Amino acid sequence: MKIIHCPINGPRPLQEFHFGGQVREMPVGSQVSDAEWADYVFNRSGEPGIQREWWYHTASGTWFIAERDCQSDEFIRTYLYGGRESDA
Amino acid sequence: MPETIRQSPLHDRLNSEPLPAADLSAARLGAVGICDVSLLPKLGVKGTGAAGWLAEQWLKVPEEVYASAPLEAGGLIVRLGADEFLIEAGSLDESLAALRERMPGDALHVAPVAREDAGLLLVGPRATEMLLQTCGYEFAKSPDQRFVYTRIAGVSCGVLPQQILGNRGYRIWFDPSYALYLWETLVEIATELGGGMVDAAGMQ
Repeated sequence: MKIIHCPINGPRPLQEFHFGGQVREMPVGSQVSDAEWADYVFNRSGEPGIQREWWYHTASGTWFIAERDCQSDEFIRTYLYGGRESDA
Repeated sequence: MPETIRQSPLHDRLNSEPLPAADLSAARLGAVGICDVSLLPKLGVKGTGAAGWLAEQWLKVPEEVYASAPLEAGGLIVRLGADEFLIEAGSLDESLAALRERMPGDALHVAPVAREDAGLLLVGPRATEMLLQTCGYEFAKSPDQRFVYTRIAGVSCGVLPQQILGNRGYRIWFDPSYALYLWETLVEIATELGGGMVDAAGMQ
């Protein structure tokens, strides 16, 4: 069973979580070109390596950030957005 | 204005079959009994002033997040977060309604939270085994009175392990819209384990 460390609730099975997508900075719509906005809306990076992702612990309603190697599917660490960290 | 009627989300289901006789309840409690306690009054209290205000109402407010404490008048209080609490009365009395009326409001940063959760009790020596079949969290390693958010049979629940009738038991709260599904799922598994539905009165 794959285990993810929720920063609030500790180690829990994958079934208690939902994936929320890659952490991405949203550009200010009025300050970027249509092409740049379309790139933000429609394109995602498929590059293998460590990426920051949003994850959601459904039972407690906790959103947090996980750094995951999307090539090996290994969780490096998890932490609250701007908050405390948990070793994955 | 129509009179408010408070009833369990399992009311229709439970009224469609007779409650087990006392001796049958006792036999089921020898394995695992499941009991609907949704009608116990509940109250959420939230806000930066919540802990201080509650301490003025009761002597003992849990200090750690997910810790719980019994209330002197029966029932319990659980700390769900730094500034959030769940209180459940031990009987059907109106003590929590009175508490809510005493709530000071915005000035002291204390706010009530309506809690309409369904509530179940799992009781008996095979209760932990039953959760092993339905939940990814290992309660055998979890201490008594320590609240846990997890999923049981796919439903997000808050679970409080407790000593009930001399065994490890579990108090479960969850969204009432899932009550019928979770009840029927757990009763089916309890029946396979030699237990089943028990009457709340039989647990006194």
